Amino acid sequence: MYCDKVMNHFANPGNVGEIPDADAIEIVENPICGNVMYIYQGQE
Amino acid sequence: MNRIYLDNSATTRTDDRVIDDMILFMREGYGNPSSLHSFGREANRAVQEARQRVAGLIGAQPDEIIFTSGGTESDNLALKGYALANGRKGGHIITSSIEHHAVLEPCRYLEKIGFEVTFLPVDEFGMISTASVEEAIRKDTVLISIMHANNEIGTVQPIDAIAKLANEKGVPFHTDAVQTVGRIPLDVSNGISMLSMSGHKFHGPKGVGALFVRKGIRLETQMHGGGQEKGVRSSTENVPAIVGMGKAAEIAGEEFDAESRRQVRIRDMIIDGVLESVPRSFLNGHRSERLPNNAHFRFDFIEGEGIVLHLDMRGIAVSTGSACSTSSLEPSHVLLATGLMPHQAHGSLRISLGRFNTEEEARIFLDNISEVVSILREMSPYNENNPIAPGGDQC
Repeated sequence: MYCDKVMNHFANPGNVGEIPDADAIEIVENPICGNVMYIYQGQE
Repeated sequence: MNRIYLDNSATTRTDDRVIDDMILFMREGYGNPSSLHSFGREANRAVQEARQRVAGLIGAQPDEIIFTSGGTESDNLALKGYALANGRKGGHIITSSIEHHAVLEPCRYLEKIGFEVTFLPVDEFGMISTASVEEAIRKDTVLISIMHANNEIGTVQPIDAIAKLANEKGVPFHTDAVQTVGRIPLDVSNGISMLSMSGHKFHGPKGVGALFVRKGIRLETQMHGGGQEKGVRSSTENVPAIVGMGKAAEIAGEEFDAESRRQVRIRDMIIDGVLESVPRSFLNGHRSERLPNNAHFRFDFIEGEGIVLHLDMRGIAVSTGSACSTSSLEPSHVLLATGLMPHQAHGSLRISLGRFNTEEEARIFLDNISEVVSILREMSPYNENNPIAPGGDQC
């Protein structure tokens, strides 16, 4: 279940955080199985 | 790295004294207990001695102990064996909604073949009320099965009162005591008809368990063959494991009082420590009516799975809701039965102590848990200002 790739992302999370003035926010959530993702998009 | 094992409700480290006895019966006493020669007689004697030790731990007679392959088989034998021998035309069985799968699944099987089963609810602390058992009893109730203590949240059920009630109503009472044998006092003379136990939960080996069956109770065999274990459970006796379980029972009986007090002290240190040092942490289960070795928490905004993995990287082994269900994404049926929402169930963590845990280990755990919770909360999209929205689709 926990392959090296998954564990690597888990131990060294990248691109994590919030973009306060994001142009778009997409929310994917399913608390029943614990999947929650907020995806922020911003253009420079 | 010195690892710390805090998952003793899943399984325990086998005691060295148990291992020493077991090795003897692989290296020298390897006879088949059914054989007539001296090898066989020695093995048979060892099995009978183990039977006495296991019986002694729960106040039973040796000939009321059937050795099995573990807790799951004991539960299966009790439920299906009893139902099939005594309720051939169907009948009604009472159990609870928070039983281990080893009880729930045999009940569901019995439903399929014509029995009716009532799954009693629990309160927010995971407690079953004796009154609800009484209300559920019908004329055609053939068996009541209520666990002694819950394997996830550690709530200890009022089985003395339930056993008394069952006796008054003339209904046999089975209890799954896998989590309590060797941990809290148990005496089957209070009216328990059948009781399941497992060797590896009290520092014995895996692959062995036992079912206490009161004299006069008839069971339909679930394992047909050579007629061992009074014909109820055929198969050549697993002598080394049975010897090991006997030794584990003897040790547990001797060290019981002091060990139980010691574990309660460490448990309370962990419970108080977590609740004080981690904001938005809550205790699952009952504050006082709980296993001496169980602490079970939920933490807002994060997942137990993440906590387990982070602690594991730091050498500390704990469990999410229940080890039995970590391979599934379904929230624990026990936590849902206590009224928690799915996301709250996913935020849960179980710490379970054993004979080899120390206060120092509890302190190390406490130092780490606050840090890990903080790390995960920093990454979580949820917080006080953005609490989780209940609901969601099926996985």
